Amino acid sequence: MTLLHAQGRARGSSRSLNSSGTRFFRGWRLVTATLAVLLLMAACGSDTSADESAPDEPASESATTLAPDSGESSSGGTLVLAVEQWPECINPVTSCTNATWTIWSVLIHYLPRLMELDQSNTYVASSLLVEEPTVANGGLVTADDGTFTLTYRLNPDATWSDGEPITSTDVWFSWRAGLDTTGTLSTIGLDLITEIDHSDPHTAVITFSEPYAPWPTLFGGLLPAHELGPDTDIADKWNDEITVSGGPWIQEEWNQEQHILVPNRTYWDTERIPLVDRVVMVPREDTDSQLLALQTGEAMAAFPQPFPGARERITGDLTYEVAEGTYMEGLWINQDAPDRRFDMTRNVRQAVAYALDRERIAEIALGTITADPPVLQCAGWNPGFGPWCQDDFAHYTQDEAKVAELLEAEGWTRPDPDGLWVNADGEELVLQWNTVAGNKRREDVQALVVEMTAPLGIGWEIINYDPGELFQNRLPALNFGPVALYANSTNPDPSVAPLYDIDGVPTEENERKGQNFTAYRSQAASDLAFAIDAEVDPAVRLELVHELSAILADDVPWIPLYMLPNMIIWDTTAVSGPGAYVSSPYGGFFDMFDWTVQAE
Amino acid sequence: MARYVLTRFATTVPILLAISLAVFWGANQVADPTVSLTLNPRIAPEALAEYRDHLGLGEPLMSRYLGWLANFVQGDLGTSLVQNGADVWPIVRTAVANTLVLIVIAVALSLAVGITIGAVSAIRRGSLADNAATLVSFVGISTPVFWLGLMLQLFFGLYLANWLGIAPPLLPTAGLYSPGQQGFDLVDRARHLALPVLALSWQLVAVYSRYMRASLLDVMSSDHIRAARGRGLPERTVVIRHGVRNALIPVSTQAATDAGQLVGGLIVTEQVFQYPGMGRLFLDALFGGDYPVLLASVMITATAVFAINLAADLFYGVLDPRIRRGTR
Repeated sequence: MTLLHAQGRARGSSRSLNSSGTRFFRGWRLVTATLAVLLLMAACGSDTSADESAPDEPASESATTLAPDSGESSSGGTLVLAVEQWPECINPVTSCTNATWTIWSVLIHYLPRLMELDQSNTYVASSLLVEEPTVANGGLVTADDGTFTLTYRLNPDATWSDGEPITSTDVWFSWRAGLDTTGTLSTIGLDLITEIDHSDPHTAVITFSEPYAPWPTLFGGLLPAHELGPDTDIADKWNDEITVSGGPWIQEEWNQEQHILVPNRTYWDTERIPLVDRVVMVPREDTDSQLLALQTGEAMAAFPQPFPGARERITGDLTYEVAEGTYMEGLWINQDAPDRRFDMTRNVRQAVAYALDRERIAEIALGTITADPPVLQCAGWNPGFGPWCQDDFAHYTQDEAKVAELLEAEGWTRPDPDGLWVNADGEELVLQWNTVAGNKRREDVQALVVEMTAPLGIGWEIINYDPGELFQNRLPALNFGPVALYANSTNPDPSVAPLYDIDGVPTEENERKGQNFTAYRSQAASDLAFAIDAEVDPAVRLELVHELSAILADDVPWIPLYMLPNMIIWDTTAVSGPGAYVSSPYGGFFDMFDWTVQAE
Repeated sequence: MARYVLTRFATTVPILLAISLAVFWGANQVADPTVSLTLNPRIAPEALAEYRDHLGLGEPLMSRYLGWLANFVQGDLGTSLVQNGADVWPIVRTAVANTLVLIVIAVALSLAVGITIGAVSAIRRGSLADNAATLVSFVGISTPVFWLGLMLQLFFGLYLANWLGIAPPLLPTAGLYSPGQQGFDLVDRARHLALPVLALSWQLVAVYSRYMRASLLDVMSSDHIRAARGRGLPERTVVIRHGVRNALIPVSTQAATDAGQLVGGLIVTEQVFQYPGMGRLFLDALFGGDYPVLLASVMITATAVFAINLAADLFYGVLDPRIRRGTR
């Protein structure tokens, strides 16, 4: 049948031999013409994007014309960086800014900050300020009526790249834009500001309705009022182009294919005037692509997510630096879990903590990335930020006797010495455990823990979900666990109150608007968390943080496991300088103004 | 003919609707554009809820779908959920243009090479060349695109370049242009297209060469070829003018109907080579929960596949009137 059918088709086509044959070869000419048109289409697209984003005059040249003689010499050259996640848009206020890479690859290089994290991730005055506001210099004042006034004195030499001075009006504008822009999200803290006095261009006096201790976290990206104003809703501005810079770089081009930065020769902080002539960032959106780009010489440095086997795969001319990142991974215990078979009492939570060998867990999770990965011992925050961490969790080491003691105190028994613990209702100590499906690191940890705790009489029921289901649907509804393994980034700056707010447990009554996803109901912890936010005296605040961390370590609303590391890789034959800001929230490319490229 | 076209349209529209509904429902099940904001300590729950309302995510699923559909049929593709309200059309337009370039070059190259190999195989049936071509074709058909893409990157980008002492490599492993390139540069663009085109063409060449071989063998055993030989025409003329030309027709029709299969290969190829076309746009929109962009890319792709298949059917109907008459 097949043969006959094929013959029929051939015969049928043979009837139109001459005409169809001619049409066919005309078709080839058509294909050729189409190809030419397509390439022209591509050409037009590229030209358009280049024209739209590039100024008439190359930014570096125009900047050079404006630049005073800074005395800085440039080593020159072009630095090519592989970027893991390409921002969809770069507006500095809207949801665009919630993509970490919008900050790391774009905004941090252009927008000036009032307070800035140094290399040890401690807030210090940036070069935009004359001095850091303190209680002693009158920069921080809590009035009798409960209002809090913060006074910033701005560096009179600070200017935008177009020559306009950076003034207190820019502070005021940034505040208003943060609140008034359509689709703005990060409004916490800004919404406590009642007024910003910007009558003196070099002094911004900010009044809060109540003391706000994490004030240094605000104004991490000032906006130029003269460029973006007067309308304070800037949702439709700077979505694909930063036209004026207050940082070491000026944007020459940004689109979905590449981001080109050139030095801001007018930058007042002369120590940060870039040494290279140009930086080109290109998207390489998975680890293998980044590594390949580095190996082939198509890129010089990358700041990828740490990947298993990094220690073996990064060889030759490539080197890397690993340091603690911003995310803490741990077991978050949902005390209201609908599928729990028994109450997740403090004794049960502590027993689980004592059942874990967290050093082995860290080794399995991160051992192929970094040698001897540290266990996270902070009860509630990132040890790499500020002075808060005091290792309250360090006493939780695997201890079978402790597990037995804690469980027996609540009536649990172990009828079969090799079996599971059983409570008075006959329920076995089996915990449902959720994490993100397909995440190898987390699934490896699950497998290890199942094996690790079985001899101690604790069992697990593992059900994993895709990220959307777990984080969007199940967490806010407290419909998970009682145990979930995920990473979080919490710190007293800006606040840990949402995590421990007793009224922030998502419920039907509060329309699930809360981030206390462990349903941890400790009035003392809740009060302390809010007190930390309101205490502006650093010494007193530190005491409060330590007090809270002791409570958390005792109550075990979550079990910290390890810090997810950050990693920067670079080609030592192509570039010098990377590695100083690996663990910075500003990203590993932050200090690229200090990097140099090797002569070709 | 008109009735045939109308019938095809009538069957296509419900299929497109079903696809759009399935994609819309599926996209909303697996991804949410606000998921990463849930744990952000700087975002108040109230602000997040307000933002979700702003995006329209608070509305019932069917209501959102019908709203999208109403706009779509009027030519309004909507706005992106993750690109700060950017219009979808310009986003999709760029991706469509890039993908078209890739597809047309890959298909044209595949046809040219595949037809040549197939013709040589058929003419020298049973020879060493035929057997070698057959072997290579089966290897080609059996080679997964993602694996081939990675191997091409390693070979041309790393091993060959290292061996020749060239860095960066002559054939770049990713992207549309060299870093820092501004404006259109034909040579640079062609260098960046080389590996994706090769990866995409590999299977197509294998498939087309098999079609061509079978088709030409079929034609060469037909009566009109015997008649041509009987008239004393030179064998070269018989093969090229009467054999190859007729054998090309089912092959070229097959190439058109294969368009749908290309989509799967494109998603993989574009991802491996970081090529900013419809495949990558689809994946980015899927994982980002950006259903307006996702739906636009799916609908444009599905419509294009239907249109190409329809054109192929019509073309074949023109060539073989028996199909139009339903007498096949």
